[in-house]
Amino acid sequence: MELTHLRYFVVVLDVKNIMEASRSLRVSQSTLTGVIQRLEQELGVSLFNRSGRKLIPTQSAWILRDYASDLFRNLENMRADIADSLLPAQLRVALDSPAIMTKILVFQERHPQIPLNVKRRPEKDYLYYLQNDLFDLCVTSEQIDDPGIVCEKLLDDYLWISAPKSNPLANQSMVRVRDLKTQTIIVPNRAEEYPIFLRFIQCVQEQNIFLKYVVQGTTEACAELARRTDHLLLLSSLDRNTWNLGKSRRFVLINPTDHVLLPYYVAYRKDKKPTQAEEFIDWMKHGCYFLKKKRK
Amino acid sequence: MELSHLKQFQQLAQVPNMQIASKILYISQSALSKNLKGLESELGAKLFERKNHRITLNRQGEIALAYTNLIFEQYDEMLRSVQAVNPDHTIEICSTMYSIISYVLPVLCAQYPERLISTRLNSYNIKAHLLDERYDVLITPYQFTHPDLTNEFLYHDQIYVSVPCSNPLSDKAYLTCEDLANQVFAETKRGNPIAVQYPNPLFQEKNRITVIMQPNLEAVYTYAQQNSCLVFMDRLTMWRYRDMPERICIPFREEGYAYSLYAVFRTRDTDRVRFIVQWLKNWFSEKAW
Repeated sequence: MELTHLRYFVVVLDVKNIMEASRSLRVSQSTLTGVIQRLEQELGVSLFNRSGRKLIPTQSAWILRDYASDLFRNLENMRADIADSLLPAQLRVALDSPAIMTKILVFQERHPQIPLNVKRRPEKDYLYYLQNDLFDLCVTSEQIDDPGIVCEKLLDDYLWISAPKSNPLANQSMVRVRDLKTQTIIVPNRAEEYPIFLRFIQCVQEQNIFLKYVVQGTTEACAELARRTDHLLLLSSLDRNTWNLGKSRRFVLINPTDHVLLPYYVAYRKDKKPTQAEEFIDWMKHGCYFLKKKRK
Repeated sequence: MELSHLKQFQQLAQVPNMQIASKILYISQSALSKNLKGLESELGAKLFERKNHRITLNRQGEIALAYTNLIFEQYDEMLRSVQAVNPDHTIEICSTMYSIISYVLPVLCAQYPERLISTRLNSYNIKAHLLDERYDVLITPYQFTHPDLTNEFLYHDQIYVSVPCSNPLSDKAYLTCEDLANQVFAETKRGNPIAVQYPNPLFQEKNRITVIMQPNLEAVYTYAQQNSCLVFMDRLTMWRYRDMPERICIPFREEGYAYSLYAVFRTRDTDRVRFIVQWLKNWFSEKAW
């Protein structure tokens, strides 16, 4: 199997039409049909059912697509890591949480003497990364269980609700998820990419609660909307102090018994603890919670 | 970059000798060295140190090797998973009934862990999807007449009405449309039993009822509990919610309101789905209603 063929397949799957795909890839339709047929032969499964001009992908096609995008991502990662390895030594950190990423950028600003190289990578590969010395530190919310790896707890991320004082919820010290019924909540676009919001959404679905979501593009836009309206705003502990939401609002913690909390761990190799890691881990444990963003 | 070039690089890293590696790979030494040079220029770094005919991996080469191994691991897994989805193995069951999806099919899936059975709730276009092979078995109150489809009777169902004890209707032995006039019902659009014969002219004219729509069945029961509404239930749901406090389930007896559930599948697939239909039949017949 050739990677080019796999790339063609992904495009065909996305548009579900040979003609359109051949136009965007600038190859002839017959080549494309041939490529798909060869792939099907090689794999021994059928990838598309044909109904007129439209292609209906089979279950195998969807699975192939998922793996193919993983494969391409790893090729990209390989290229990027090789390019970075030619630079002077850096503390290489892998993480998957944008919230932690923003904190680390602040750390970088304040500790310019520690050269950091932070990359966003999927958590499932972290053990492999550490074992093969591709990264020095991995920040993860899943504990890595391996005799050669040390996994230190960094912090617990909780979820808070910012409620206007006119809302009765603002007078409580903690709320349960079910208390949020019928409330309108502002969440960032693609909230499911943030693991803590994902946990919240799962919890809401499990309890069959119906909330009204107002989706905003970015966390900045969410904060902006919260300043103007009476809707509730969801914020994680890490983001809590980043935004100035005015004096008319209060933060209320969502009760952690609802399991809307996310632990973060840092993992490194037992035999290869990087010298500069100590300061970094210490800062992540204590410094980053109480950080206020400098207002311009 | 091609997978074959990565494979050659992987081999070369294991046997750091051009001559031996090219023999193992059945390619000429010059082709091997050309491919390696191509790979190095694409990655923008040398991967081997060359010293008097001996080659050793350098730091960049080690990184490349780690990723290459990861990529081939993923590649093998990809082949395995794609081929594991043999259409003869996965069986898609679709039902129009919420109760079937949530109370019956999980038991079936647990009984056959080695068979890949997936289930979904849907009531639109189901016949077309069945003929398209998107679904393999339908469990519905409808029978489909089509030369390629087989309908198998599963069981007779009956509709019940869950009535709060405070409601005067709760004394009745059974209910008819006339009894239900002016009552408030909680309902959902998807997967409810009465949807079979609903909307019905009897309810729309003289004996008008009010229906409050809820997003799903669990919400229907919560809402009904809080607001003393009535709920239509099928037998399975009644069985599950029969112990709801302060409520009683009364059979709804009106002409044309009894219905049967059928399993529908493609006739040519009979052998494949036989065990499911048989299991469902047994399950419904063993259940003490």
